[in-house]
Amino acid sequence: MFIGVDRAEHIRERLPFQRQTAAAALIVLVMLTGLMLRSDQWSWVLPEGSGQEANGTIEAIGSRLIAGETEEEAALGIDARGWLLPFEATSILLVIASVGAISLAFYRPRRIASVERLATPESPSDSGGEG
Amino acid sequence: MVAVELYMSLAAILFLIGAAGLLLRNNALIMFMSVELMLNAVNLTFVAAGRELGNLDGQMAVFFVLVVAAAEVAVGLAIIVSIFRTKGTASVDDLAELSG
Repeated sequence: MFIGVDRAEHIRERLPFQRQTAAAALIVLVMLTGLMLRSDQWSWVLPEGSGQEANGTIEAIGSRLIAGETEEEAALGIDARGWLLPFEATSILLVIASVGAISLAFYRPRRIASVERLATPESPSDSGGEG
Repeated sequence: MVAVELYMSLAAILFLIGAAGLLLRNNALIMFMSVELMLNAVNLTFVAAGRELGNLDGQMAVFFVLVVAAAEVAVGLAIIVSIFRTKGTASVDDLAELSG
């Protein structure tokens, strides 16, 4: 009943050989990853670091978010822009997402709404159902 | 301190599990969970690389990835529940046409 998860999946597919192609792509991906894990060549994944561990304190993250580079990094000559613009863009994204989720929750297609109204004629019409 | 290669290996394995779920299942909810698994694998690489390189930007990137994933979950789950109420199925093979 949990959004159809408990039902058996259809074996018949709309696109022919869809699942076989997906399985083949997956096998290729697994082999590539295994090759990468076995090769011990991490230099193309991770360049040589400074060896200095970043302290992920709230204070350091907040100052990186607002003000750019920390004092130690400024002393080292690192010029880091702040993350203020992405932060503000994120707020707009969250507002849009919450508005979308709420409107989707209140949206009810006319067909289902009329069926529900027929099923329970004594209840007053749903005020939120006309989204 | 755990070596960074182990973090990267774990992230690669998590990403593979997510990719397998995304490719092989056709329930929209399961595919959604697989996408979240892949996103969290990438988060793990961000944090591990940021720690290895002594840079806080990895954690900042994780912050934004988490926020975008939360927004995606909110809208996507609402869409999936709405589709399931309308059509009675969440299988992506049965949702092949765009018209409601």
